[in-house]
Amino acid sequence: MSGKNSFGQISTSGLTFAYDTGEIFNSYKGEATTNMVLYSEYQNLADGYTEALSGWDTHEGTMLIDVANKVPGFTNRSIKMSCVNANVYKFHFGGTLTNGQTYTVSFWGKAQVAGGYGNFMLGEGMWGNGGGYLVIEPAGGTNLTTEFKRFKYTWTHTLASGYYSFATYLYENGQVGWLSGFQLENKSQATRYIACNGAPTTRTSTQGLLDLTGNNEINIGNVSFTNDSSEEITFDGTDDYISLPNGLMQGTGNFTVNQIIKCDAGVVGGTTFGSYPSGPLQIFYGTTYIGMWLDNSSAYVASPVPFTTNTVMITVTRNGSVTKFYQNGELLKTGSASASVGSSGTLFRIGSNTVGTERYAGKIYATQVYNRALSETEIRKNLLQYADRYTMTVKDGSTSALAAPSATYLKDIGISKDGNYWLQPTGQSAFQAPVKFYLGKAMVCVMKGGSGNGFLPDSAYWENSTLLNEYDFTLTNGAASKYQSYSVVPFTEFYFQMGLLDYQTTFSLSTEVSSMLAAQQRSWNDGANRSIPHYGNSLDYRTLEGRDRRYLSILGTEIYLMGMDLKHEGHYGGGSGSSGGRIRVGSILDENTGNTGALSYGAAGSAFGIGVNGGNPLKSGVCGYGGWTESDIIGKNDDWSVWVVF
Amino acid sequence: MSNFPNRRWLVIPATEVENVDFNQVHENSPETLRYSVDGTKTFIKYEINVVEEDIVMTTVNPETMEEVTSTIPAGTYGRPSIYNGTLPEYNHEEILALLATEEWTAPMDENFPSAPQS
Repeated sequence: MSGKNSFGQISTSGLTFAYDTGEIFNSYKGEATTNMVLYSEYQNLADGYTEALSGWDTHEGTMLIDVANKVPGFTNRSIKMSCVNANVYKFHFGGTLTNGQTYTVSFWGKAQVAGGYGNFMLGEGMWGNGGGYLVIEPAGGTNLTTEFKRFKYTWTHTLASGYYSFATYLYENGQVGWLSGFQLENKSQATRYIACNGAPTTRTSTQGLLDLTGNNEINIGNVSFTNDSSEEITFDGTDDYISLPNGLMQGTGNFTVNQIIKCDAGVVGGTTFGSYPSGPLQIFYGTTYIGMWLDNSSAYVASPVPFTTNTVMITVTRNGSVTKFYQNGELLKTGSASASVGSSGTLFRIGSNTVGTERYAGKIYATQVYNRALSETEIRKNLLQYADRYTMTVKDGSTSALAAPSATYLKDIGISKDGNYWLQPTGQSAFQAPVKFYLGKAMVCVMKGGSGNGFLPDSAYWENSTLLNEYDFTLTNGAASKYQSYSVVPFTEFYFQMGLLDYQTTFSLSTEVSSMLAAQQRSWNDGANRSIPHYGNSLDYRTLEGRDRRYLSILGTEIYLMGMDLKHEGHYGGGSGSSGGRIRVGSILDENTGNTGALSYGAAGSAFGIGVNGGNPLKSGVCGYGGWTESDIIGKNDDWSVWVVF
Repeated sequence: MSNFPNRRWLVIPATEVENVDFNQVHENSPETLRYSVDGTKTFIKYEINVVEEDIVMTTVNPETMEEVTSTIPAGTYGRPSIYNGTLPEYNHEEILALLATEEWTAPMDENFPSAPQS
């Protein structure tokens, strides 16, 4: 296991395999190569190296190993050159070249003053043996900047085979420059630097990408690499793949596979991870299919396919027999599969199935495998590790195009500021609604009111999808609103905000409902359920943190809390249109007041609710029960709002 | 624009694999090659370096600044020894199009259930 920073924000519990090409210290080392540079005793600039720079040609200047100036991301120190007499200052390195072969030489350089001019030359013969030097222009230009940049030059050697040397030059009197990381390779492009130490040094195909868990060997000998400053792993879509250990995943247990990918345009359904047909697991991304295939029982999206060439995080999980597929932490598909993923001999690959077809083209920056199903919160935690690094499009709710799949998604990606956000539950159109982050939960407002404005118990708004003032997101203006969230947001917990009350708990339903609308459309008049709310939790209001202590004595000793009551059913008798309430917090048992008959609105009881019976239901504090009235409660006109945890 | 402008793919009969020098191509061994659906063809890939015209190099002795010239002949460098000018060579776009044909790729739907589960 590597250092504590190796994993950043990703979940590590149950992690059995992980690589991260952005983690250059502990995971991604680079393409297999051999750094052919001789004079290797001068190449080792690692910390602790103290050998003098004898043998370097210090023509009119000084040259020192500089501890302070290192190429970013590297531990190697640099060579500092100070030029005097407005002339050439140089040092050289070399290697043995073969006629007809293609080579790439590379190094990092910077200058103390921007625009400093250096140069790079390829020698024709043995250094010190009178050979001339070809002045070449390394890719990236020769004008040095004050930041290290890597210079590269690729050419096909058409001269006689033998030893050749290279030299770097600085011009201008008084100029100071730094050089580091000299590399000579028998390749058509530069690879990531590998330090020499006394002889040409080789990085094998199993030393270029390391499993962060330390458990597995990864072979990158059959994949491509970009010819740019990142030298990233890439899949060309023809025959590239990464070899993983056989039996990397086995059995019928829970698992998660998480990947950061950037797919090329035109890929139909490239394999990003899997064993198919060696084993029954295949994860794929493309224009036709996105998701997981597991022994003919799948969780994948076929229409419409949310294909993008942007960098995305794809995640598949199995928990029991339930399989799920996520993109950027958003659940896109649920399926079922109980099959075994494979056995100890099952072949696994990244970028291709195991018979060499269904090729993926693009990047796969990171992969993690867990022996358990990550929670959605954990999946989004992993997303945060990569979102900024790869400029990933994260649905932060700021626009309709970036509508978040839920308020909890916003919370999971680190948003904590209450406000108006765009939301888009799965299968729904995007809408706006107030969102708040409270009690460690994310809540979406479904309706609000105040100043005596609200919704009567028998208002049609309770049982239809008609919106009211849906673009009014001010919670304290006394105007009533009903948002799209009322009709489309599923929930188990809800929260009631009224005036200065500050309940420190949400109210839980026994089972999830598909929406507040669905909850309110239930069948009424169930006299058998008197005093037993269908949706609610029978808590003693006196124990509720955040209770309004002014009314405890008024409400009496038989108070219980009904998180959400339903029309007619919180009341003895449950007479048609006669009693009950929509949403109540703090109710009074009918029996406690001695009223056991069917009652009208004006004589039935609950307190602190909206759409409740008794008194004026539009007022914030509404109570009323057989002959019991309390003006302090009835007369209130506080702002109120109802929220669902989503 | 391809991400591999200098890469070329050479389609060869499967019977020619034994003549491939795997030190000259990206693939490592016959086992890492991809074959056509019927197994009769495969391909190898490599990077080429095209010199459009003869390059006259001027070399300089850095200490004396004396100049000497030499020439790199025009040509395409980097092709493996098995390349003979008659086998078909493809660039990236061309090989992707070829590999998408049924000669090289079985229809993907064969591997998937008839309809996604909900």
